[in-house]
Amino acid sequence: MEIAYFPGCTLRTKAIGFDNSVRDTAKVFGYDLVEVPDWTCCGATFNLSVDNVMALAPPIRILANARKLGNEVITVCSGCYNVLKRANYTVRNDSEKLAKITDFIEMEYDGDVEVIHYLEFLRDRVGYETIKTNIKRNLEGLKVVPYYGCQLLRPYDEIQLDDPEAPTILDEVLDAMGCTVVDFPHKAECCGNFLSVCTDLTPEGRQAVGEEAATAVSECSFTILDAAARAGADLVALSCPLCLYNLDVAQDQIEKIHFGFRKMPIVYFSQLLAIALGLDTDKYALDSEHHFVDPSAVVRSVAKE
Amino acid sequence: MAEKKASKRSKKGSKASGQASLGSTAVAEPRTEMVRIYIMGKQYEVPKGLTIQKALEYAGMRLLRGCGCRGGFCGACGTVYRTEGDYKLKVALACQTVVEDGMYLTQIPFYPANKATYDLEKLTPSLEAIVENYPEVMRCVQCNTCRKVCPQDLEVMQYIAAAMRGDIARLADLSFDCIMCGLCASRCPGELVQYYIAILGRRLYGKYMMPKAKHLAERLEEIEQGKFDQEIEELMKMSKEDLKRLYDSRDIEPEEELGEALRVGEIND
Ligand code: SF4
Ligand code: SF4
Ligand code: SF4
Ligand code: SF4
Ligand code: FES
Repeated sequence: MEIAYFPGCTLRTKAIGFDNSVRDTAKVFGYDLVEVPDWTCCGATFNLSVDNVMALAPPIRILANARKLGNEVITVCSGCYNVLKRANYTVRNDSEKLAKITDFIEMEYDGDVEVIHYLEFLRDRVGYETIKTNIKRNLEGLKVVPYYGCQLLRPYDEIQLDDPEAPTILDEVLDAMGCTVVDFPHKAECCGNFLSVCTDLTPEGRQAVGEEAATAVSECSFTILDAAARAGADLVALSCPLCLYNLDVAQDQIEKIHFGFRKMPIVYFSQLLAIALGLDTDKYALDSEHHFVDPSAVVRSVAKE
Repeated sequence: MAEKKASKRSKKGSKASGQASLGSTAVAEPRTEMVRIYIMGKQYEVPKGLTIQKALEYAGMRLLRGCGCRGGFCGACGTVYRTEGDYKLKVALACQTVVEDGMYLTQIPFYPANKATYDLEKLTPSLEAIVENYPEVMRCVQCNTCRKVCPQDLEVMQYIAAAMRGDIARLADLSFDCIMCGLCASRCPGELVQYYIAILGRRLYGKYMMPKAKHLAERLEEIEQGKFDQEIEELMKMSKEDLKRLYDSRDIEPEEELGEALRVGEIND
């Protein structure tokens, strides 16, 4: 069955392993993810100023294009999901804005496309039982913490994916694919990525912003990673390229500051799903080129056969 | 694609007829139907059927800038206009578009643009190469205004979207017919210069991604080995008349496209 898919820019560049693993795992369950025609960047952050109607143009155009393929669209980057879902919510509840934006983009759209996160799709459409019956590799040896971050869950009124304080959907999906899921208290906490992407963390950069400010950035990541390590996890699974970058890039610095800190690879949940489903592990960028903390040893430990 | 080519051809057609109608006719024939146009706000009456470019000349302008090939290829004659009673802003190439009654015209012969200097040898065909040279590419807000003003009907926003995700092949492909008229840049709220970003993409594509032409390498090899030296020497010694005769009796490829290109060439001679 074909279903519309919005990969987003990051998945076509830095997070290519995320994109490939989502497409390939969907295929195992009998779904062909078809790219939304003529898609552009969604804008990456939802604009909070109510009068900036312009920021609605890209996401609404994407949804209007998705409409050509059906009335639902799957996306998987937490950022894209957040932007598309909130833009949709906005025009569904504000007919004036909808009229203005469709007039501007010169396309018809009435808010009738459902934005679906791939996790949601795995839960509601594929079903955990189907995931379990398709497992080809045993991931029991992997102790994984699910990390949700903010964009996947908040604001709840607009997103409504899961409980914003005590979410379980990622836990359940990881559990269905056979990982040993490790609970920890920081799974829905902000990783501080908007600080890290606008702070130059090279030695010269650190000097420019001041050591204290630069450390504040890596401390956000430290809180999360340290808690994960104490809970006994081997790796972190998530669904956001920004979270991945942030948790990943900070570890060298954290190691210098915090004696005894143990580095931990960060991966996308769909990369683990691809391994569990027996797909070719070399195809999903689980390497040092795409990750600061190389996940390949962990992957090899479970993907021998 | 076929459609685009067809429209290029018809452009050539209108060019030829446009030229014919001007000739020495600084004064229109008595029964010629006239239309009203406004050049920078001033009204002129010009014969119906002229291109905007001819109409400007008919109205007494001498085009020093904003006119090059007169054939829809050089991009010098970008024009912005509105028609009476319509809020829509329209664009055209002056040499390719016939005047309409009630046109308010302005010419955009030149638009300031930011052009990066780079060493292609040192770049890779990647998002990094684009962002390093044109960081403003990330200021694109996907408003699609560039698409709406492109006289070549290119998917300008789409090629910028491709640039923003490092899809060099798509950037090169979608921007292939760009004539660098500058109209997109004149309207961009992100202050991008789309066509320079596009040409960087095509250069990267040409240098690093396009499959190498095997026959070209073979021919270069042959040239280096001196296979054609003797022939060239003979040509060098030939008289002008003999050269002409040889040229006229050369093998012409049967393709319709090429045949037409040659005919146009002849008209220009
Ligand atoms: S980061 Fe999205 S533009 Fe990009 S891939 Fe995700 S928010 Fe989009
Ligand atoms: S749409 Fe026009 S009027 Fe509105 S803010 Fe933009 S430039 Fe100004
Ligand atoms: S892309 Fe821009 S410069 Fe190129 S033809 Fe279109 S409007 Fe002109
Ligand atoms: S006009 Fe500029 S900002 Fe708007 S879509 Fe085109 S490149 Fe992007
Ligand atoms: S004069 Fe060259 S495109 Fe019009």
